[in-house]
Parts: sequence; structure tokens; C-alpha cells
Amino acid sequence: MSLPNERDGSVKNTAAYSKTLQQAAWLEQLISFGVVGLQLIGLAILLDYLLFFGTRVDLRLQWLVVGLLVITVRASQVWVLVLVFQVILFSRFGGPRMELRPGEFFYCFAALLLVFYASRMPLLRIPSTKRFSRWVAEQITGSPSELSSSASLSHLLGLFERVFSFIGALLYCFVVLTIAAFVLTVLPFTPNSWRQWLELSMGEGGVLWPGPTLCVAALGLWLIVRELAWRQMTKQQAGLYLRSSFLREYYSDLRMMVRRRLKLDRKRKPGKKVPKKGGEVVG
Amino acid sequence: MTNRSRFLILLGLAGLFAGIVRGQASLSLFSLSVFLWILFDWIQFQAVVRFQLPHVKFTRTVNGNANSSGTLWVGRRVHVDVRAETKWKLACPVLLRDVVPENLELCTAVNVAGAESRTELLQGQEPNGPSESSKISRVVRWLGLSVGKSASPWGANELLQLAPSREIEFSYVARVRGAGKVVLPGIRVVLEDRRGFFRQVKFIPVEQSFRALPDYFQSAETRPTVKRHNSLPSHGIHRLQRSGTGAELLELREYVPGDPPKSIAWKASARRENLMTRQYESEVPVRVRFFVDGGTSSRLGGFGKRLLDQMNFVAASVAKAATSIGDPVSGTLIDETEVKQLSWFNGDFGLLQFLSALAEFTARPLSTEALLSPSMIRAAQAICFERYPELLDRRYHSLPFTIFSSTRDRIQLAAVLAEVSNLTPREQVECTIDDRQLATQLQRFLFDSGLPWLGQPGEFVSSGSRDDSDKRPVEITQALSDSLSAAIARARDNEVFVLFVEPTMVVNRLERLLPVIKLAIAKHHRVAVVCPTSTFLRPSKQSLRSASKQVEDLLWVGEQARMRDLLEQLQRSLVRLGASVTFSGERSAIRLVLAEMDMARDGKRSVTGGRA
Repeated sequence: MSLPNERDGSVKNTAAYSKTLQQAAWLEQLISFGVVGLQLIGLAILLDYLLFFGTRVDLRLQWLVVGLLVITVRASQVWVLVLVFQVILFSRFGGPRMELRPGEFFYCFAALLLVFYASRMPLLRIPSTKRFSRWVAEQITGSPSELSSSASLSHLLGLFERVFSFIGALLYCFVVLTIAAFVLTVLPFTPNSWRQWLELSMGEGGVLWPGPTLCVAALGLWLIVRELAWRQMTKQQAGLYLRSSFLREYYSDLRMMVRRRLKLDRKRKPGKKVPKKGGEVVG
Repeated sequence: MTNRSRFLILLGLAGLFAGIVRGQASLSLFSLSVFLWILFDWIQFQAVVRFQLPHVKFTRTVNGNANSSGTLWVGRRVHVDVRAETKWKLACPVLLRDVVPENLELCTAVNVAGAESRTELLQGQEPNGPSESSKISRVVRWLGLSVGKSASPWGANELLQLAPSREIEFSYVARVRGAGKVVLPGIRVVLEDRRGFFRQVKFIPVEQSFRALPDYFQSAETRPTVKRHNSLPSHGIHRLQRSGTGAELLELREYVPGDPPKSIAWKASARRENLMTRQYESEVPVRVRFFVDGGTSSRLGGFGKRLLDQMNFVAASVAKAATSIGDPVSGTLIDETEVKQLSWFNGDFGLLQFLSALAEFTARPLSTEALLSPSMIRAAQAICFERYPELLDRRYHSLPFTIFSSTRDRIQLAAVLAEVSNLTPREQVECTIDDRQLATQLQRFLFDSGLPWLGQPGEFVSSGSRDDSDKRPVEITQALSDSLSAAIARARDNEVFVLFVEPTMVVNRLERLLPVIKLAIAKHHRVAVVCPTSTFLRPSKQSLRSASKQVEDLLWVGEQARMRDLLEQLQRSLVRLGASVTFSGERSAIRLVLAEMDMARDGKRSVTGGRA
């Protein structure tokens, strides 16, 4: 696929130019298919390992389950994946008295990373795949419009950006998992933490630790958050809230007044005579 | 919080509980991680919503004009650019929609410019990508490879910004449908985090209000400028042969002492050996007066499809033709509430004033009450959802308990109406109980939001008692008759009166109009009656043939036949008097009125104009 001769402005070369662009577009689509296919294969392998490693499940059943999960991941139905992992963890990993082993920690890390990947909005996956595929297609076909050095640089930067965002996602998962592990060790779910809490409570004179501190901190936090939320209200929202509060108190009274007025209006229609108390009709 | 995140939190908490109860550390860890992950995402999202979103500044330019008001023309394209600038990059994907009123018809998305080269934008139709067959494109889209042209769920006035950016810009082209008012209220912003767990909808007011002037047909024909006759309207018929101060020579006569020396024709005097004076023609205008029926029946329908839009088009085109050669135009605009008399307009500036008066008249709300209907409520709810999403937040509006969802929706709608229209609490409660009050408020709300009322004629009642709805059409006809007779009394020379009336209304009250039209013609004025009809109702030979033997087609043919009879009856009555009638609101009506103007000018119909 050679470049059209730019000095020759004949129709033939214009046709060749558009043909080159069309080829580049189809090649880009093909490469996109390839990239997505590789992603799906990697996903399937990881899922198969996480779900069926060490089990004797039939291979066809494994492929079926993995296939269904890949479809749900692609369709961004992340709750299915979370449920499946919870069921696996529930049935396979059970240690006495909440002791976490390193293997389980890395299993949870891999599972969380998969959930993280699956939860990303489908639309956000398109641009990066398209960018990469387009860049590769342009390199192969040599489409003239994209051969400038700044375009190549931007694509390279895009590639680095993807790598950094992947590393960032790994770190994020790791940090979340670590914080969760820390919280689990601090909260009284293991024998060590029970003992620790009991000692601290006895030290405080029998008051259940960290009860008072936690209550005060929670109350303070709640007040701050509520105050900030109130101050974020728009003028119309504030007006609506006032109306709503007023009506909550006086709705029944106002409804009674309105209904009575409507009843009187219906009686006072033109041509209709309203009878007086003494039986005399007044026009 | 979306249902997605709610479900995940539920799963996380359930897993955490099960893990703690069963003593399973890994299950507890995984479930707690999911919960914490969503919590951190929430904190991030709230930071964007509370601290970044309020600092986003929107500017909109319409045809290069960023002012809060201006003028647009019906049928012409409007180029709109929307720009959003922020100090920090918005970290979440955001969907921007420039809320467009019903009177603007979207054409295309123009460009997808972004400030940064790596910005990924999806607006309206995606420009790249080869064309694909429908099945393949569906598979391709499901795999997440592209969002093809046919699959883009966003309109031309929407933009989905995926990558963080400090500046976002998009443009689109629209077309004004009908005369009146066009208000661009603001931008609807939907912010969602990258995982679809949280969503925030906000409406940012960026109001721009425009006056939409009716379009006119510019004829390539030159209009004749010679008037042969000028009849006085009273005391019989006589020809006016009066000299004046025009530019054209009328005749030569003998010199009389007192004639100005510059008017002496020296050459002719030398030839005749007698002093001769030049007499010039007097220049008189052909005045055109319009009578426009702007009642409820003329205003029903979508923008650009109403009978009033056809009337505006014809009136504007005739006014343009008249003012371009110095003939003044005036008008009487009639609806159920008032009869507005316009002064005489002349020249280009006068034409603009006349068109502005027409636009203002067209922009007036319907004066008749509408009956409450489910479609009215749905339309109002759609507008509330689009323009007042913050007011639909249940945190700020507690509803009284009720098991009926329709009642709950009605109470919520009444609350939003009350806040937007500044109603008292009693009026708010009336809206929840009284259908009539709610219908009145909704009608006003829909009008202010730029929606035409698309209700059926049977859904209207008179502004007075419901029993005297028969009086409504008579009042307009009576006002028309009174205005016409007043115009005849004030007319100075033979004028052209153009009546724009809704045909089904006038045919029932013809006895009120015929005497006045007869009087006008007797006084040597020209009368043209323009009865615009919807194109599908205009009687033709084909319209009386049924396409099939289905009940709907037969009913349709019956309706066509009935309409045809009515219009023929009207035509017969008016043509017998000497008035011209047309049932079109398009070029044929313009030609008819211009022909009447030619008749007023020289007593002869001229197809093409030109200086004689």
C-alpha cells in the first residue's frame, strides 16, 4: 500500500487515496476485534482459574459458566460477578475464627480487580481500543493524514496513559483491600481483637470501648455532613422544602377549605337558585 | 445512587454479614472491600459534584450572538455554539444537553471540537466508522467496538464527554418552526461516575430569549407602480383626475398667472407660441389592511403547522411586496381577549415593526381554558424532569402518604408548579384537588416552557361558564365584522382588505360578515378572504377517493367531502359579492392578494409586473 503521489492531482490518485483510507478503516476494525478478542480470552482464562482451580468440574461446564460470565462482564453486569465470587468464597474458603491466609488475600485481590474491570462503563472502553487500533492501522497502511510526528506522539502518550491507568487500578484495588483487612482486624471479629477490646474497655472503667468516642465523633460528622448538604441546596429547593414542611402540617385543613369552596362554587353557578334557611328561594 | 450501586452494597453487606457469622475471613474481606470501594467512589463523586460542577461556566452563542435576546427568522437556520469552561478537569463522564424548545427543529450536529487532542467525544452522529449492516453493527456495538451512526442515542444538541477536560464545546444547527418567541432556557447536565454507580442531574440556567419573525416569500417579479384610478369611497363613483406633485408628466395646459415659473414647458410653449405649464401626476399608495383571526382554532397544532403560521406567512409576504414599493400596510389582530389595531407601516423599518407585531401576537398564550387530560400531565412531567430535576428530589419534598401513584405524581407536580409559578399554599392544594385549577396552571406552565398546546378542540371550554361555549366563535366573527366596518369608514381611497379567517368558524357565522364585505366592495375597495387549511384537508379530486374499504379511510373521505361542501358554500357566497377567496395558506394565496392589489391599482389583473 503506497502513498499517493501528492504532486499529481489526477483523479486516479484521489481514488487511490480514498481507497487507502478505506483500507485503513477496515484494518482498524479488524485490529479492534483482535484487541477485544485478546481481552476476552485473558478474562476467560483468569475467570476459569479463579472459579475452577483445584476442582474437578467437567470442562464443558467450565466453558459454559465462563462463557456466561464473560458475557455478563462485557455487558457490565457486575453484580453477577460479585455474587459468583461470594458463592465461591462461601463454599471453598472457610477458616476457623476469621484468620486470613495470604493465598486468600491474593484471591480476593484478583477477584476485586476483575470486578473493577467489569464495572467500567462500556462506552469508556471504546475510545482507548479505537485509538490503539487506529494508530496500528495507520502505521501499517501509512495513511498520510496521521503520519505527523505530533499525532504519533499523542498516540504514544495515550498508550502510556493506559498503562499508568492500569497500574493505578491495581494500586487502588490493593489499597481498598488493605483498608478492608485493617478494618476487619480492628473490629471485634477475631479472638485477638475481642481480647484487645475487652482490655481497653476494662481500662476505661468498664465502659464498652470505643463507644462514647465513636458516638461523639459520629454525631459531629453527621452534623457537619448535614450542614454541608443543607448549604448546597438551591433557592428553589429551599423554597420547595419550606412549602413541603408547611403543607405537611396544614394539608388537611387547606384541603377542607378548598373542598368547601368548590362545593359553594358549584352551588352558586348562574341560573342556579340557592335556597335560604326559611325556605325562600333567592335568585 | 443508582440501582446498580444499591444492589452491590446490598450484596456486599450480605456477604460481610454471612462471612462474620460463619467466621470466613476471605468472604468478609471481599464483601467489605466491595462496600468500601463503593464508599470511596461516592466520596470522589461527591467531591466532583460539590466542588467542581458549581464552577463550570456555560456560554451559548446563537448565530454568533451571546446576548440574552435577539431576533430570529422562521424557516432559517440557526447556528448554536455551546461552550463549557471549568477551572479543574471534570473527572467524571458528563452528558450535556442544550434544552431546546419545541419551536426549534434540530438539524445536525456541526462539529465535535474539544480543547484537548485526546478528548473523546460522542455527539449526535459519530463521524467516523465504516458503514455496517444492521446485524453486524449490533454485534460490533455489543462488543464495544463502535457506536455507529444509526446507534447513537444522543441528539444533535447533546454531547457525551468521556475524558476529563477543562473546555468542552459543541455546536448544532436548528431551524425555527413558527413565529412567536424562542427561549433557550439552559443546559441539562448529567454527571455519572465511571462505573455508573452514582448519577447527578442538574439544570444550569443559561437563558436566551429570541423573537421569531415570520418568514416571507420574496417574489422575483417587479411590482407595477402606476395607479390609474383612485376612487373616493363615498357619494357614488367618479374618477379622480387630480394633478399632484409626482414625477411623471400627466398633461400640459395653458399658463395661468400664479403658476410657478419652473413648471413652464419652454419648448412646448415655443412650439405653440403660447405659454404652457407642465402638470404632474399625483402619487398615491395602495393601502393594504390585514384582519387576522388569532382565535383558539387557529393556534392549535405544532409550531409551523398551525393555521396562524400560514396566515403569518401570507401576511408577511404581501407586506414585504407592498412595502418594497412604498405601499403602507396595517393590521387588526383579533383573538378571544382583545382586538389590537396596528398603525400604518411603511418601508423596511415599518415592515420589521409589522412582523414584530405579528410575532408578538402569535406568541400570546391561548385564551381559552383547556380540560385536564393525561397528555397534558405527561407533557408537564416531562418538562419538570428536563428543566427542574432538582425539584424532583424526594429529600426536599416529602409527599403525604397515598397508595395511588397517580395522586402522588399529581401532588409532586403541583408542588413543582407552585415553586416555579410562585403559587400560594392554598392554590397549591387546589391544584391537587381541582382539575380546572390544575389545568389552568399547567397550561400556563406549558406555554412558558415553549410548548404549543396540542389538545383536541373538544378539550377546550370558554373562559366563562361551560354552558356558553357556543358564544366563542361568534365573538371573533363579530369583532372581525366591526373592525372591517370601522376600517371602511376610515378608508381614504380604495384599499385592499385581506381577511385571514379559520374556515369552519366563519362558514357558520357568515351572515355577520357578508353585509360588511358587501359594503366594502360597494365602496370600491378590494376584499380578499384567505382561509388557510391543513394541506391534508384541502379538498381535491383525489381526496374523495378512498384508498381502501377500511372504516378509517371511509370516515376520512366523508370528512373530506363535508369540508369540501362547506368550503364550496363559503366560496360561492363570497365570490357572488365580488370578493376573492382562497383556501390555501401558501403561494397561491399570496398571488391572489397581490392580484387584488393590482386590481385596486389599475382595474386590470396583471400576471407579471413592470413599469407601464
